[in-house]
Amino acid sequence: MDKEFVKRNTEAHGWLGLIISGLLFVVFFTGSISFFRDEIQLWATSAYVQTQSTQSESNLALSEVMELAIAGRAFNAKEHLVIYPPTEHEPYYTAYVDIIGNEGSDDYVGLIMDPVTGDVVGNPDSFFLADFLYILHYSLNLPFGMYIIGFVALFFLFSIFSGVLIHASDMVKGFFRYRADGRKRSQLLDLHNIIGVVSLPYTLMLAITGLIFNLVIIYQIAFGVILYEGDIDALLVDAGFVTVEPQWQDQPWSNPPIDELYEQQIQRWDSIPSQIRVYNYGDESAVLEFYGPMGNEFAGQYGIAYNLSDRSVVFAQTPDNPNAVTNGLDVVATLHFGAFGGLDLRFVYFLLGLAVCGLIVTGNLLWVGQREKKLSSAKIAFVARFTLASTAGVAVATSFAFLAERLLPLGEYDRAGSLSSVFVLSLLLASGYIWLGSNRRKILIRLLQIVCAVCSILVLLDTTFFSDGIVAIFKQGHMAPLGVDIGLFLSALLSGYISYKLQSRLSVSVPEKYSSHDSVPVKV
Amino acid sequence: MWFKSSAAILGGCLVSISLMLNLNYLLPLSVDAGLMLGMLIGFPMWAAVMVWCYASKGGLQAWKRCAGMLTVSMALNTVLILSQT
Repeated sequence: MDKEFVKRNTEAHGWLGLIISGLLFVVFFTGSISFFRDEIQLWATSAYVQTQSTQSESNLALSEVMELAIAGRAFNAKEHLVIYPPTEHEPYYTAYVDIIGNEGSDDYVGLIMDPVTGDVVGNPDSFFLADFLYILHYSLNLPFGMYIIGFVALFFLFSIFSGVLIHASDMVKGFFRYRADGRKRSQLLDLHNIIGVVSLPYTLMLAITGLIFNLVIIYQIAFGVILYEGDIDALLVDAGFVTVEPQWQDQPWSNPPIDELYEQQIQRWDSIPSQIRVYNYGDESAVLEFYGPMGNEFAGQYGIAYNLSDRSVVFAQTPDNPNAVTNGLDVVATLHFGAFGGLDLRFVYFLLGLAVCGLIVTGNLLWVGQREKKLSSAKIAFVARFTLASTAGVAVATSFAFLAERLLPLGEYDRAGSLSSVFVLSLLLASGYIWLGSNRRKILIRLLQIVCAVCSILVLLDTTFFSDGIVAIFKQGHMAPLGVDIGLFLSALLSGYISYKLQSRLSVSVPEKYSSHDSVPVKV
Repeated sequence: MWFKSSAAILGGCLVSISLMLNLNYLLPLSVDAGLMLGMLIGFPMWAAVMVWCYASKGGLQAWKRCAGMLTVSMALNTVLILSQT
């Protein structure tokens, strides 16, 4: 390959990699945790929400749950009522009821309902940690964040392509090479290359599928304008996207076959629907819509809607009525979320995700090492601090978000907003500490110690104050909260161990006279 | 670098859209399969154009490369669109 071609791409790989590194780390770190989003949600609710046994035979019928969800509320029947039935990870009904609010507003109430008694035992929006980390993963919780992350994914895809080209001649020969006795730079380079090569199929798949989620609008607009002459609705119909808009008849329904159709879906697809939505509830024009997984299919997701008056089908996204876009997007989502396997596959995805976090850090350190003699110490210090803030700082903020989820009291206030504030505030404080501190290795050690302390406190809190809820849910056969606690315990052990090792190396390798000097070589 | 980046991002986007349209017209696929193919191949194509742009000597060469490819691809777009009407 042309040397200049490789050289110029190496330069671009380094610079663009550095520019996106902070956001890319956030994407992979929070994305890796989000593989256990359902488990974290159950961990969060288990401390505050107690429900009866989740044996499906004793559960209330769907129609009864709907009635209980709207009872005593200013339900806006011309909008929707959405129900999420109990699942392995959420052993309760979750309902979202649209209520009559101000003109043009989209007011709703969220309810967690006991599957046996139908009592409202909580508000799903109060437990925001799992969703917060997930939203951070794909949109940073910012307006237009989805597109920002989309472009980060685009540059990541470029980095993968250019990385493969840079490393192509050495990919086979250097696959297992790790020069443990080599120079620091050789070690970092080997580590960067090994992680890059081993995770290549994974990173390639995540970059492309992530781009499809976040930036597909670009192709949608282009295709809509050119192929469909501006008729975006026609494009969406061809792509299999349908909107249900029944006209209100102002005549009450009679004996709507809600439970019968629900049972039918369970029988037909060999799985419980994941989402049920009713339009025009109580009216003759009501439509009942089901979405759910097709049991035993790789990426099967069905969607079907019925007119409740005569059981006629409004639309059906089923194998009888295939559409390449909806089926393709199902496959894309299944691959991206690792939903085609069990817990073990998600562990593999999680570990690979963390490995990519390591890839990002080693990439930045390589960039610093390569330019240490060329750039001013201020610029190098800036990059090193930026790397610390966007990696260890994010880890500290995430641990505090977990703590906030556990400790913030329930009540009539914006608990979700408070959790977000805790994350942002702790990230700002960690960044301030990084920017004001002088010895970056010491700072890293302190930040790791903080993560270790927070994770340990969480485990202690769960074993002392919240054990009843966790044990109760465990007895119902749900291991997730216990699993999250084990994960927190392991995180505490790992961060404690790394900080201990760094601390011992610091006392051996850094002479006292350098300990407070900013130009100590970065070896984070 | 910034000039190269503008060619890589904007030029790459336009080239990938134009190539996707050509594929859509040329391949004997159903409408939905064509749209799905566009989503799957469009982004890797965009990133490949980026690699080509960043391998240029400078921003001007990067833009020239994009413009050349875009001219050829858009000419084909025009022929295909006109032949369909």
